[in-house]
Amino acid sequence: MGTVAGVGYSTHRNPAVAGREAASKALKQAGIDVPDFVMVFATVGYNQQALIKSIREATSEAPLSGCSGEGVITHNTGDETNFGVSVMVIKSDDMRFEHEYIEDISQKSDMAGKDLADSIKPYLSSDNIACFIFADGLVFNSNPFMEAFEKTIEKPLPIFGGLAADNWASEKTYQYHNDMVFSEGISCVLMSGRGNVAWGINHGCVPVGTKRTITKSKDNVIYEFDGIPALTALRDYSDDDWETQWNKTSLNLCLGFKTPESFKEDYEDHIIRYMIRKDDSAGSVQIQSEVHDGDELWIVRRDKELIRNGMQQISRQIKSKIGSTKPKFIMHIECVGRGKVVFREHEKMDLISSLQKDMGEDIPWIGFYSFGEIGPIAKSNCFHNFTAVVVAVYEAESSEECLDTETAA
Amino acid sequence: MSGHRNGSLDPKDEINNLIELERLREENETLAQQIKQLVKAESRLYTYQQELDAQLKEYKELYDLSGKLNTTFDIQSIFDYALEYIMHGLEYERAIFFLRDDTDDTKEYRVYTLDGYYDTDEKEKVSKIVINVRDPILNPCFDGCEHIIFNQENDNKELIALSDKILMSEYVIYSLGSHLQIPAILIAGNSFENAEFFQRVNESVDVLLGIGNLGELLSSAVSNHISFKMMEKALWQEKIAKAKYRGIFENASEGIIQLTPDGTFTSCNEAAADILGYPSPEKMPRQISEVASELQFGDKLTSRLLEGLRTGTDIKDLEFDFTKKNGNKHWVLFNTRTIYNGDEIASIDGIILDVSERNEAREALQRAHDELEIRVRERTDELAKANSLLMDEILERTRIEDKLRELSEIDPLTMVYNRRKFFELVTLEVAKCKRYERPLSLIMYDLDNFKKINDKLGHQAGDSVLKTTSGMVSAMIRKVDIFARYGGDEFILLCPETGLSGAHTLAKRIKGLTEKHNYLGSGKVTISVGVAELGAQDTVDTFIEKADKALYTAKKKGRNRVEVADADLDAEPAA
Repeated sequence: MGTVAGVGYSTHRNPAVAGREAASKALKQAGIDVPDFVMVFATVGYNQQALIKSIREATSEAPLSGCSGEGVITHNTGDETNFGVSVMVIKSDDMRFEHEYIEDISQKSDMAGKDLADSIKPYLSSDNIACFIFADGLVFNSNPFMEAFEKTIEKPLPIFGGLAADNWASEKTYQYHNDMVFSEGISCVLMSGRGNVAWGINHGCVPVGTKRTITKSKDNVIYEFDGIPALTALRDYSDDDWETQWNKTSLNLCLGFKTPESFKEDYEDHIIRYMIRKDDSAGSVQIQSEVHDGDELWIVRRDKELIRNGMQQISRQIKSKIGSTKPKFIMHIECVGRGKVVFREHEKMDLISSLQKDMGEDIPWIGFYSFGEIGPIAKSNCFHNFTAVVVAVYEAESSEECLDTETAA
Repeated sequence: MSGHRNGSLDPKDEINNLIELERLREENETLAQQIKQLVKAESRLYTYQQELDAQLKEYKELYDLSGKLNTTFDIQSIFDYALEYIMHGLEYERAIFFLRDDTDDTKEYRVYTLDGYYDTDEKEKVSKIVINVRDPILNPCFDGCEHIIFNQENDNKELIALSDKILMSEYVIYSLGSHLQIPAILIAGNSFENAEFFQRVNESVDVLLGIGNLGELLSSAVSNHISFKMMEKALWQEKIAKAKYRGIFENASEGIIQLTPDGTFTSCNEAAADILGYPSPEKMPRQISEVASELQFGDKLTSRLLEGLRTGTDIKDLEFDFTKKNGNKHWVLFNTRTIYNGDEIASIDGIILDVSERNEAREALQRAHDELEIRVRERTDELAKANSLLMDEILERTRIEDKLRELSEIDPLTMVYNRRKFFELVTLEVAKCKRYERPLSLIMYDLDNFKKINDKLGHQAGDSVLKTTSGMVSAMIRKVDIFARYGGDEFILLCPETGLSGAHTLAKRIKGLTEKHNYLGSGKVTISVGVAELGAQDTVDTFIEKADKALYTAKKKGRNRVEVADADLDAEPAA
């Protein structure tokens, strides 16, 4: 049998109907009755528990992981409404999917990294392919998490994934593990066996203005750059309602940090960081990775043309790896800042459809709009914002090929 | 910029460099400001884009909805399409359509369909909601207000109560159709728990525009549905009427025709053709004038018919005869009714009744009636004759009967009652006098030595004496007295209302008269008389016996005397 996958999608308002509908369509596309593993991404308008319950019922209680997103992505679809769910079912003789979860990661990202790594340690083996993590985008801090996680697993392992999102309310996101729906946690999937991954990552952002230097910061909070409060510097690029419309402001502008030399060759000049929160009284902004005084940064903006070109680049990156091999499925994590907030609906659909057409129209395709993206650059697992991470999973033709994966150091 | 001279910068060049640097700084600053403006503009652009896309999506879906609504008049479909738009286009959580059912004059709006209620109990509860037409909530709608909005800022008690019922913390009520009738009501909104994920209900332009556009479309669709239903009903009724008419038309035994004012047949049923003697309507001439000619209506009748058609004058009960093609004469009764279209004659309906049979029957009846009259007359005469004969016979019989009765009651010789009759009468009198306690007396006499008269003078002379004596007594008594021949020469006289004294006096008179009469050839004849009065204890027999004994006593005492049964009275001395 090898590996078969199918993806189904629904926008029905009734969570019980939506879950059942999406799962049924996925099973039908895969041509299976009972899957080995289920991946779910859904938007937050649903009663999440009811949604997951119906999916579990429809998929014979197969192991399930996933999270909420600002929107869901599947074939010819990039749905950013409050009611959308996409379900992927996988059945494989060649690959295994083990999954774990942790809760209560707020303010404890380093502990979270260690705990999660400890939980998947029993599954670590020579045929691990990749790890997918879906973390709460409102509380996640990538640097301490990654450091602790990689340190604990003690082996190179490419990490892909995204940060769970909500509908711009920034109130609550959700992570899924089997029957459980929780927040401020991480859902994790370890994929192993005869398989491989090829991926492409691109952000399409460009600096505006000159280089800035962080002059005051702590952990992932930037208080000042160039000696002036961060919010004051950003004000010049925002409309008068910037204080009350922070979501809009922070979407239009983000911060770019110089790409480390070690993977500059495989990436753009800047790694992008989204300003998830501000503090009016302190004049500070918070991002999802740690910074230090003296770090150079640029104020960057999204460029539509660069984004379009970047998608083509992603396609090339993947194809250069897999050649003519057809992927079993593709996971697509797209930043919320690259959806309807920047593109017209038809432009967005063109973007997604073009990529899908490039890769192959009948490949099971699943993804979501996230508050942050995770994907390796060169040999380093990286956290991204305003970025698209597209991962193609394909069957390795030989055991050697299984080992020949660009993995993180 | 200028270069160095001899390893150091020329002061002039330095100044130029500084000026250039300043210019570049200024240019840079200008560019930076422009970039900032561009970034701001870009941000605004993205915002407008989103709004535009949202509006385009809404309008596209509204357009699609309009297209769907144009394909149906079915109210269920209309509401289903609308629900889909409300949920996915306008993005409300819940919607309910109430429909007013006018078929039985109900004054309520009932839930017709709803969406967004995924809990079975909730759905069932909401499905049973009924809003009375007179509910104050609806007053603004009937006053012409298109919508009513309720959200957390509203403190209207009725709206709050409705909010609890329909499980929406914010909602808009939209009346559909004419505000005078309001055949349907839409309520769309969100529950408290989920409102943040849906289109909020407020007085913003977007909300009002969205719901207003939908409302306009639905009002039109609902009105079309109502019109369609009415038209369907009218068409159905017309179909029924047509079918009924067709049935009547085709199956009627009466001839039904339709004509134009110029006498052209536009329709004709089988019966009409048959009555007129044509094998089928198709075989009939097109013009009534042709029919009139073929069937020999006659010029006068034909003219009258054509004139009536032309002028639209209805013909009432015109009876006429015509000759069918087979030569048989037939009678018909013809009526017309003119149908007008405004002032113009649209058509003329005609009914032809074949009254030939009726007329024949009438004639037959008349003949039978005449015959019957003759027979009755004859019979009456016969009866009269028979009656006359009968009357004669009856009279004769009566006479005979009287005679017979007379013979059965009367003594043939003396023509007074006979003994049998006397007993009949005395029994009645005794009973009557006893009941009413009236006096009743009896005089009994016989002729003295009558046997000697018979022996000496012969029976004929004896009979004569009897006759004469009874004749004299009959002449002197009252009508109420009962005089009878008791036997042989014995006679008895019953005197009602007569006491003993009166009877005695009468008895003496009878004796005196008899004694004084000169019986031709017989000489002197005397009688002996006994008189008795009915006693309280007497029966008929004892009564007669008393008189008889008194008579006997009179005989013993020498005859020709009156003896009274009671001794108080003055008896004659013995002779």
